[in-house]
Amino acid sequence: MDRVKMLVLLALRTMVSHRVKNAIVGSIMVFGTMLVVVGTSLLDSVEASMRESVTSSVTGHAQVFSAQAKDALSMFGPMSMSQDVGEIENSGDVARRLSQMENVEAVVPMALGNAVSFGKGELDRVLFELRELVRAGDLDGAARKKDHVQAIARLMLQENKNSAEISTDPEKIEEERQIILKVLMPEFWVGFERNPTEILDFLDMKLAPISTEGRLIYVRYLATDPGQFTGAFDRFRMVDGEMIPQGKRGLLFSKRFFERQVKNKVARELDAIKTEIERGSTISEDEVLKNRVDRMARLSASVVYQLDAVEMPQVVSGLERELGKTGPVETLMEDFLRVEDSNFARRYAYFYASVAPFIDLYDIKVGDEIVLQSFTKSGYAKSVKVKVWGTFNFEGLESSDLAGNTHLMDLVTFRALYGKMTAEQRDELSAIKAEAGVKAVLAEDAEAALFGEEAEIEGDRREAGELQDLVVETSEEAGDTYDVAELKDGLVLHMAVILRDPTRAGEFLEALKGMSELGVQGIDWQAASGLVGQFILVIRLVLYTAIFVIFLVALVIINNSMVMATMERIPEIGTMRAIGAQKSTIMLMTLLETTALCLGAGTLGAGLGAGVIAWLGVVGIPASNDVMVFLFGGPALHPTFDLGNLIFGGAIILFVSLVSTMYPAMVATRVQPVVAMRGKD
Amino acid sequence: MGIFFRIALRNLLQARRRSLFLMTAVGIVTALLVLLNSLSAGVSSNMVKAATTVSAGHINVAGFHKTKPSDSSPIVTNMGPLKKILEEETPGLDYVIDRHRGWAKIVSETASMQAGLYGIEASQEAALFGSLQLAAEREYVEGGGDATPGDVLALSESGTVMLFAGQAKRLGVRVGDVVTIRAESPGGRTNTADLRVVAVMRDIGLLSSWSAFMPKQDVLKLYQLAENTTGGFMVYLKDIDDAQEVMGTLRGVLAGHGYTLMDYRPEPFFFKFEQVAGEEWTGQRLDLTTWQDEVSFLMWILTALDTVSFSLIAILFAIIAIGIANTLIISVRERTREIGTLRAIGMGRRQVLVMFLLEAVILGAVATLVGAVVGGLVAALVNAAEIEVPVFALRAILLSDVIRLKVEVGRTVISVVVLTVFTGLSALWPAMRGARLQPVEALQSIE
Repeated sequence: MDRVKMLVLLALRTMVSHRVKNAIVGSIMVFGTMLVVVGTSLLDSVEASMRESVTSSVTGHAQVFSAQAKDALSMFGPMSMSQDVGEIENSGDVARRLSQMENVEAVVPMALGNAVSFGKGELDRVLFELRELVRAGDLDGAARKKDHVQAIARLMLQENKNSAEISTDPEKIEEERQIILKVLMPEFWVGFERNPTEILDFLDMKLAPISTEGRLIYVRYLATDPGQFTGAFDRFRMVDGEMIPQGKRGLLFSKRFFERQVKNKVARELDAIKTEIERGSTISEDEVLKNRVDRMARLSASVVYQLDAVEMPQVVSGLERELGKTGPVETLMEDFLRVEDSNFARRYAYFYASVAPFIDLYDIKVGDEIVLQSFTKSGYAKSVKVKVWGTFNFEGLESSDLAGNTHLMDLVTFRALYGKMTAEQRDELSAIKAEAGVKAVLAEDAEAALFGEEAEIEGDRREAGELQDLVVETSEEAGDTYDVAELKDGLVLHMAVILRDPTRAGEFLEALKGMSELGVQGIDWQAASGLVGQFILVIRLVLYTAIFVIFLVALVIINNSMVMATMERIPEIGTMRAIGAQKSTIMLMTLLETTALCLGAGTLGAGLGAGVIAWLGVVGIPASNDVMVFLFGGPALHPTFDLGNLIFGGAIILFVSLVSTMYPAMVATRVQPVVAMRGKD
Repeated sequence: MGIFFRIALRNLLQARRRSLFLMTAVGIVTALLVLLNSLSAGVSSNMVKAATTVSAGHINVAGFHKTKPSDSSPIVTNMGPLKKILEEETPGLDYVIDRHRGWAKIVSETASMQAGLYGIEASQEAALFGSLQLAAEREYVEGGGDATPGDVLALSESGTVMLFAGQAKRLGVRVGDVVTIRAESPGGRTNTADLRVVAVMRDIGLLSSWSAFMPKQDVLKLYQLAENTTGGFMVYLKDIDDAQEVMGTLRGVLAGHGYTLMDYRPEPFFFKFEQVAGEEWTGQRLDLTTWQDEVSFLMWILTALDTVSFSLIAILFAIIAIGIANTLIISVRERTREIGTLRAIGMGRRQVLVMFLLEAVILGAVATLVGAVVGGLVAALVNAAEIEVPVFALRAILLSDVIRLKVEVGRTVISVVVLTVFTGLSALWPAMRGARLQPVEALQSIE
């Protein structure tokens, strides 16, 4: 006991007497500990935020997909656009088996895929309205609409001229030009009031097909069992409209995508400018923002175009009041949109209050039916109509484009797009086959049968190109409703697994390996979140390497300081040895000294690190780009630390300190008692 | 000066052990800095190589053609006169080539994938073929041998395609097999072509997984485009560093010839579709970019790499500076009497300061030189070992499947000089302490 007391006293005394050395070595230790605490806490916080937002929005705690997959499943980022993760045909069996595992709470069937949709063209919309007016007997209204049709035809004439520059088929272009010219001639409309049908038919049959379809929208969908999905993923929030009802087919758009891609161009620009201004930019000083305003003003036609004869005067008089001048509507709207810092807020509000109600603010409205088109693996075009029930987002990921470009759909619609048959269709087809005899199958059917895709062929609506020898379009007439049981079994691409205890995800994946008869493999949420998720691993790798290198150098420096300190104390150590101190005592004394220093410095460093994190936790680290929003699981990261980070930091510094003291301690023990007697020099 | 040098050297040698320790530390940091720099330079050179052969020219004269306002086809119409202007009026021109650009699905019997298609004219593409290497069959076929079948020149024939190893592996095809390319035009038309794989090249990082090459005439047919259209011109200069300046000149030249130019946006063409589709104009507009603009979406990698290197080296050097200062403080204390004697026999304060600084500078110079040499050797060893990058995300960042380091002489010399200067600076405080000593005090100190 006395020995310990004496050792402690000795160590403390040396610490005081070697103030400078200890201050230097101590400051390195403080800094090192702080770095480890801050670094690991930040990284853990990022990982925790991302895990929280990703697992509770899309991936679940683990993802299960076919063992025959060509690519590893990745649910976000560039790789997810074109991946082949195989198929799970017997999803019912797999789900049942997985659900029986003790830690599994839910298994949600999924299929990630891509389709395109052509937004409704302006001509389609106007022709539809025209027909409605004629049907209602409102011939005055119909006569006004014909001006609109002619305006569109004039645009089509320009488009026709443009296509002539790049097309390989001049005859066809010329033929189309004649049709457009015909519609533009006044004689064409003679007799419209008396007999509109003939003219309407011409417009529908001849003019409409020429009009290049509306804007192409890329729809990246996550097909699932909607009811089960909302139960399992608690970050899911409906924004507009309603949830896809049980047993109904349907699509929910991501709110982010809806605002960024589907909204009217002018409104989109207004929103973007508002965001920039809220971030502190000003139109007068920021050149980019100024260009943006100019661009928006030039887009004014996309608003004016949509106003009809009744709405136009209302909007015009409103704009005249706002601007305090008169003029044609195009000029008024353009001037109105040429916003400045001083009037932006007012005009933004005015636009949404007094202009937006008269136009289609979104190309697609909640409640619309859209046609999704996609290609099966072997190259068949498939198209399916689906109703848009509403929009949604994931809490925390509202402003992330990475998370916000995926839309929610039901599995039945997916299967129709994917080209796998329902049981019903299979029966029907075999009945047809039995009737017609297998030999009578069309060549295309044979091709389809070869690839295992035997959907009904409705006919090729599109013009076949010279090289078009494989593609056949099939339009799936899937019903609007289905039996909910269909969701519980049949083809899916992957499945999300929700665990009761997420910390035991590793165990689940291990257990899954032993169930090879299911033909599936599993990955954790991080792997499933794709390239972006893996960046965390890379950052962690970089951080640990940096910590390692920093401590390696610190080790050399601490070691050096310690050796020098020891050299200075050689006479003292010699004296102690001379009066009977054992080598082990000297060793212990040296180590104890370092440990005491290290404990002090480590505590201080950990405390400082914790303070920095606590401060960051209050003020938050803002996410400056989309990837960071995703990594942070929201617009800002509020990091936290736990005891683990502190202990980790302390342990590393203790280890480094002890290792770096080993050599000086050995030097000290080798000091012979006789040196004490020799004195200095 | 010679005498100071000798004194400093003597001191360093006398305190061999601690000099060695400090030199090790400085050396490690120098070697690390050289390695980090060479990593950054390696990534940068991969980027330049990939950018200027696979995806862009030094200057790109491309643009968009819009049939209707919502279009955005990356096409240049009536290419003949434009090519003539570029060939005749580009200052410092090496050569001009043109390629078509498309986005399509490649379908094999067992798999399919999306890829960017380049429609090329084989006769123009000597530089591309020169920078890519045929892949050994084992890189994409299980149990394949070391043979490198394929012939890039076969791309001059219609109905052929050149893939990268990663793509071939995924599609399960080898040279001689046929794949189907399916392209969707913005109007919704879909066309396909069957193409024979004539060459499979070694991967060059992430960019290669997105690119496939096929004859230009096949792309024209695939998209049903007129003969005199192209995707864009890739202008190669004698000196790549002139790109920005020459682009400015070309803008003036082309505007003078009556072409309508898009506002300069330093981004790759595929970032511009949405904006172009949102503008009201129709017809043809040209867009000029430099190679850097076309890979600007990758530039953050270099920024990140350099930021990490800088912070790491800064932290390390702070630690080392503390260590050096500490050592010299003790050294000054140990040599107080010596300093006193030197001052007493007429040495000035300034000379004492120089003596100590010189000690640190010599230590720094030797250590950084050795460190730089070691760093260079390690880099050479790493390159020779062709270490595969294990993590996919890391591969994406490094733009390569193997770790490639490039030691640049200029950057290394700067590292050595800067680190040596910093070593000297960290000795400033203790040196000043030494210089401040009064000769009498110094002589009196017995300790």
